[in-house]
Amino acid sequence: MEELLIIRDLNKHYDGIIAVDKVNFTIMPGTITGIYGDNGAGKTTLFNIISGFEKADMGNVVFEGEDITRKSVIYRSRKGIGRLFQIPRIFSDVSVLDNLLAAGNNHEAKYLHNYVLKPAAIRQNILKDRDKAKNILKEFNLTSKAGLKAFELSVGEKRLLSLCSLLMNEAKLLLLDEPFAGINEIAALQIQNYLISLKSRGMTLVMIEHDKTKLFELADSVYEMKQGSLLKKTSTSHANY
Amino acid sequence: MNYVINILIILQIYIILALSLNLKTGFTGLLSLCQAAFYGTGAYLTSILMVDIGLNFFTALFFAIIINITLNASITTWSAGRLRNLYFTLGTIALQIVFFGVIYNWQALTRGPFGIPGIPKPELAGLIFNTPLKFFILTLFFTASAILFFYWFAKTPLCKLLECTRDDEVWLTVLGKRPAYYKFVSISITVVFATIAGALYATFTSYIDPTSFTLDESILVLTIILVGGTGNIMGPVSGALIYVLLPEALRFVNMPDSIAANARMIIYALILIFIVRLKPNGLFGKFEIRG
Amino acid sequence: MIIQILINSLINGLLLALVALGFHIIFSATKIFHIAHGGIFVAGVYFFLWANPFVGLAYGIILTIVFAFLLGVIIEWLVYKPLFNKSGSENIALISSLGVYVIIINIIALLFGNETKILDNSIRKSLTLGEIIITKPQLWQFSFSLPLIALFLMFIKVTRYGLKIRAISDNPLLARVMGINTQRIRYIVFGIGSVMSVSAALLKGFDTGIDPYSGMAITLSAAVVVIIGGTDSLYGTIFASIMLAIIQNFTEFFLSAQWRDTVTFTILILVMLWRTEGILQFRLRVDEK
Repeated sequence: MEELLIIRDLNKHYDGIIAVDKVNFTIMPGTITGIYGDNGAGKTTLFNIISGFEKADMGNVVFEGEDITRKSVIYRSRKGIGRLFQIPRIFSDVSVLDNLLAAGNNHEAKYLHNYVLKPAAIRQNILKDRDKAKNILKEFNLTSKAGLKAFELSVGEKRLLSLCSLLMNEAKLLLLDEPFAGINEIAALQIQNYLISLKSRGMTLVMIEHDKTKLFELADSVYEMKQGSLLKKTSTSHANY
Repeated sequence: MNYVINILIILQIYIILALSLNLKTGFTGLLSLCQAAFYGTGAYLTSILMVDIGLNFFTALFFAIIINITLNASITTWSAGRLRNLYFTLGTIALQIVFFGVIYNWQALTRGPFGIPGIPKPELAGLIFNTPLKFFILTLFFTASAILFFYWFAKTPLCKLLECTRDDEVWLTVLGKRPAYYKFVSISITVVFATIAGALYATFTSYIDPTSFTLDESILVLTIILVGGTGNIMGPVSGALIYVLLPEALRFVNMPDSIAANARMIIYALILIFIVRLKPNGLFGKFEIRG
Repeated sequence: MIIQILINSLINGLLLALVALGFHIIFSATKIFHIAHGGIFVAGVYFFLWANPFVGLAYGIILTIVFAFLLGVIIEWLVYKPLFNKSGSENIALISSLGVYVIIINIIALLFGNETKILDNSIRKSLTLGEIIITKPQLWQFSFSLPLIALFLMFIKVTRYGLKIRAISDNPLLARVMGINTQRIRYIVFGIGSVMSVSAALLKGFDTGIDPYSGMAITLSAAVVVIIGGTDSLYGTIFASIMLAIIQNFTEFFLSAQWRDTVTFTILILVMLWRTEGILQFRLRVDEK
């Protein structure tokens, strides 16, 4: 099977401080990869470089065999790289359903003239997207909240909504920045189950997480990030802790 | 009777202006103080095309819209891409003041402070809109179209994306959408309706000069939508209604005309201050004004 | 001729610096884009105009300064403070400020009319040095604004309150944790800022006169120099004021007075677009620190 993401010799400095130091790793499709490490070890910077928010000083990011090192956030997201932030990002003043519809790819509806020229196509797309969105909401148990404004949701629900939006946008690779932070035990367990079911559907996940035990439970391979370097950990080394 | 009709025409011009600014500020979250520049460019372009080139009103309006979008919408979109919040608002003030400087000083084209007199009335297939009543029907047509358009547009997926641009641009890019494009759509639609309002104003008064398109006018239109409320149709319409009918109400309580103009602005600004404090989504609005 | 323009520019620049320094401390300590500063600017002059016949020149000026301080404090108390307590955004503060500006201007126009008022109608003596002419009001402007600026800088750099103002400007949260009474400092900032603005207005009123609407242009110029000079540097603001005054005066001389504001704002746009780093451009805050 071909690698989904290849990171080669990635380097990033800020005013002499090394944030990411010669990072190499590959991610196979349908796997969960976990990264842990201290604050300031460069985990979020690594995510920013993969999703395109920051440019690396050196090295390459290859996604599905294409070198995307110099591509924009938008290009990467259209290729299928999805990014979940630590503080969940949502469109807070529109409804939950509209959040998902906005994330969908209703290409015709983007252009004003299409409303005159191709109203049928737009209507069809809306119906299709609506079905898809409703299925996703059902899967994540958010159906009852579909009509609420997004800011009315709890933190855990907002994070789920972010995740749903990425699914709606047909992301293939999900970069999750501390998906369990700031929510209670039950909600965390719920999200954990959703992540496992996503994996079983062939989705690829990379996640940053403080809780090592949880990572070894969930992930296929685990890395520790320390002062910018990425070290592969096995479950045996975990036992030493 | 003509007096009432004239007030209704002015009212409708403000309704169109408020509705158009509402799309940009209420839906797309771009707090801007350059509505009078959009409106003034529309008025000047239509007048110049009609007086100097002799085009028909509707042809002139069409070209005015095209030129206005190319000029103002692209500049505003560009600055919206680079400046945020307060700095964007300041950028729009800058655009407004530069616009005023240009129409005041470029006398070869705009006749500067002397203004453009003798702007002909609109004409359609032999029918000249030269009486107040006929002109009222023409403005009613445009106002009704504007209301219907915005009513319809608010329900489209495109409009939802404008609202998403307001709520979180970073998230929009993560979902593979280009915020600058949606800002351009929003600002362009705003420019289209501001141009229509400008063209109606110019042909209604038959004379325009730079003093009608100052920063104060931009502040006024912003105030109208903030008092009425943003994000829906009712808000801007009621804001304009309150603004235009306030002097009539003041006349009703026997306030002399000489102080009515100032008293109106004082009352209006007081309403504005109380509204942002007590009811941030305006009298009839849907969204709060936020940073 | 060039020297004459430069001297005029220096004096105009110092006046602008007075307004801009007031705007600067308000903006950096409270993050409020205080458009109403322009309203206070004109309100001071009209207050003086009203008080002068009763109490004479010296007391008139003192009363006006007190009035300016109180006006600034009252605006903060009635308008901004409730928003600050509700943690309103900067846009809401800006809108409220526009409202206050509109109210002040219209009250003045209602009471005093729209015409330009000049405070001093006595015969203008002027100082002639070779080809250079310095009018008496200009001399006053120069000899009052320079010490005022020095006093202001001393207040900010040396005194206890100045230190607290700087602390709040740097990090309001930390300042509050350190036990600084933020609200009192805000009152002081608005008071002092308004006094600076009104001092400039009085000096201008003795020279070219003032009308209810002249506050907006100078406040916007002040905002421009604060942004060009950098919101973290008082000296930057003073320097930018003088530079902008030079540019404005040369524009008036070589083009016309009407191009003044256009040129000012073209410079603002260029600076905002050129300085893409720092305060001016929004950073993609993906880390949410």
